[in-house]
Amino acid sequence: MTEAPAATRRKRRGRWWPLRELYDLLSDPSFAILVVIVLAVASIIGLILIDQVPFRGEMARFRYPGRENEPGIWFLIHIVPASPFRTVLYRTLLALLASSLLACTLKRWRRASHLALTIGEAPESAFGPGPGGASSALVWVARAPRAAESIVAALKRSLFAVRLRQSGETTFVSGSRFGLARLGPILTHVGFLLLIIGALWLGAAGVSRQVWMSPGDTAPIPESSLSLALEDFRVETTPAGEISQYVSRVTLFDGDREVKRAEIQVNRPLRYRGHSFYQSSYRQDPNLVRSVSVVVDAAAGETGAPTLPGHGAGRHDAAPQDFAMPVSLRIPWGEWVAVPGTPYTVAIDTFFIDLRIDARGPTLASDEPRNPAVRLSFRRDGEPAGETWYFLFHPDMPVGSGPDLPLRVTDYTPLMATGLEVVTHPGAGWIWAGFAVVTLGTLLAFLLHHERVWLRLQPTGTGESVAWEIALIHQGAAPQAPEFVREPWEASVTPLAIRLLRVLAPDGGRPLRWPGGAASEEENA
Amino acid sequence: MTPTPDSLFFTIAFACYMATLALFLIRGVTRRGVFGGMAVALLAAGAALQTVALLMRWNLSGHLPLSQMHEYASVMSWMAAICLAILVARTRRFEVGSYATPLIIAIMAIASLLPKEINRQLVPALQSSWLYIHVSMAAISEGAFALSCALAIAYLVKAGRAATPPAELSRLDALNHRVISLAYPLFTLGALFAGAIWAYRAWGTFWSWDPKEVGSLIIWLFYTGYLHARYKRGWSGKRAAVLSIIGFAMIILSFVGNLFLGGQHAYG
Repeated sequence: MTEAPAATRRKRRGRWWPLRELYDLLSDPSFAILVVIVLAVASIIGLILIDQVPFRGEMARFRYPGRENEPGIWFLIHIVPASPFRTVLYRTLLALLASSLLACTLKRWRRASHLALTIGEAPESAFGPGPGGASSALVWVARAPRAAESIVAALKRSLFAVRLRQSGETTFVSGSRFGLARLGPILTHVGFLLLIIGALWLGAAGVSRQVWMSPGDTAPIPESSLSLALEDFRVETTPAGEISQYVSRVTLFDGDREVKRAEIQVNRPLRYRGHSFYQSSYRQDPNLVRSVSVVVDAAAGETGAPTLPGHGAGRHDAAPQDFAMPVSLRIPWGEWVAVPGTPYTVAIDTFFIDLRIDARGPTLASDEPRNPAVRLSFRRDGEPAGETWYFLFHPDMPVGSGPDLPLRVTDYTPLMATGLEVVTHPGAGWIWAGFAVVTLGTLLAFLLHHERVWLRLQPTGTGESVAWEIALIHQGAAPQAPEFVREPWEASVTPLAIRLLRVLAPDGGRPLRWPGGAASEEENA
Repeated sequence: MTPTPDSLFFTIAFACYMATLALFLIRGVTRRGVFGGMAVALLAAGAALQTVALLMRWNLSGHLPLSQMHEYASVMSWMAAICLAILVARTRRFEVGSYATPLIIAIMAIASLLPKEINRQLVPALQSSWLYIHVSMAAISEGAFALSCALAIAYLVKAGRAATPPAELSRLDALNHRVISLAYPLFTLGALFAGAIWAYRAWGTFWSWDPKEVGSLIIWLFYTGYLHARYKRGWSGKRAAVLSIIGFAMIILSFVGNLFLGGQHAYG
């Protein structure tokens, strides 16, 4: 017996009833609220995972080699995601939210647009008594001969769109103000839908890669005919030494053709045909310097440079000269500089910001200036005369095959490398459209309030004693604020209703009835 | 820590707010309106002095005082004080002041504990007009959320008293809703959208799941849920009040989270 009504219900819903059930579920505000809450909780969990669990997902496998089967490590690798916000679960929640936004919009746009764009008739029996016999309208009597015209004029002054309808001797006035507010929530939902679509598209197809460049470098932009040449990079500072801006001066080429020259700064990216170039980072180039400063100082004594293991080419004859005064030299990268008082010229051969010498020879240990070292090449009469490593922090320990000069490195001028982020933004148009639509919808929804008024004017007298009994309903506005209530009846009607009553009863007329109460005829006399 | 020139005005404003609280409490005990009027006047004076302090920082740094956590908290409390002064002066609901002023004082206390050195030079990432749009709208909206939290506390305290007329509770509930209706769009457009647009201009991505971004998203989702529950499921009164308080607690957590979560919004 219980199956029959269910079958009837299914039949009534038609063959597409599962889809309709799904649509009803997705468009249910309670479901939307649930999705929003679950998304908020998932975001909290994601925030904790991303910030408090530094090594998770595949990162944990590399962090804890050989310990993959320990329960804690296994949990980090297999359960805790590397990026919680890119997991299937989180994206599913976003898709559910998008589906709910779409279903809610589809379900409500017709009614919302109807309310927004039409004035609307008074509901059936709107002017009759409400629940419990109380009136739901403000009713008063006015002796103005042209009451309808006065009311229409007053409503128009208050930005209402107004429509008049005559039924026998009774006049009906309908008014609507700021109906576009009804479109606010719809536009907001559509806008967020656009944002989610754009974000998912951008997340799936957008490309972002960092390019490290030193002045003079040219980097091809993958999957395009573009290439970027860095002319110069500088870190601008204030007189007090605070960093004020990072500036990369670049030239952009399309094939062989120069298409743009620009200065890329933080907050001032370069954009060209779907590619954006951002100033995102900088660092000291670990293998290049602008110049090296050295001092040739006899007082420092013989250096006694030993031969670098594995690089020994035999020692050249030491320079026999004396250096009465220390001599400072600046050796720019790529230039040969004469060492005063000697037959040698010197040039920078190699630079490491953090040199480590092991069995493989000299290697870069890190990008930090922990052990800056420079290998200088020497020439004598144009012929190679050996190479020697000099260490900034260990000036008495040169290593190499160069001449035995009392030379030490005192400083170097770093060459700064710029980190440019090269980004493509497919789907960004949807995001911009989403921003615009949500902004419009939010402003409409929260700044404007849709208000509707309905009035019924009935003549109550004839000839000289013509009068109108006016009934008024005002929807969408709050009653008069208590601090402005001057008479008890004003507390249950809106400021507009009070104003309209005063328009036709400037001497302070009182109503016959008002929502939730009634006055005696004597009071209205 | 060397006191900055604006510290004097900030401290006097802080003292004004504390005196305001005392006057609101005296008004609550004595039921004499004169104390309420004095409290509003003192609150307005405190807000004016804080305005001077903020203007001094602006003048000394050469940019709007919105680049540090101290400045952010100061603007948040300043906005809450202005909203409260307007609300109480308009509605004559002095009892709201007794609940809102402690929150303002708490935010001022947090601000006073944070580093106050004036940054004359903005770091390159902050050199954008979006700083003013994004941060000011976020601070103003969060100041308004603070006020809504105070109204919610007032509601719950009054709802616990049998003698409170229902109309009084409805009025507080409606006021709370109006304040959230002001703060929510400001937060949506200012904290989320302006922030995303600025991130796109500065970092090349609208959204990078930075802890502060996720925190703001959680706050926004929460208030979105609140508004839907209110409009579509008729949640009001006690339930709405509890949600308002939880929402502001999230805002405070997100703000304090800057100190230990780090990320791209950790500007000290």
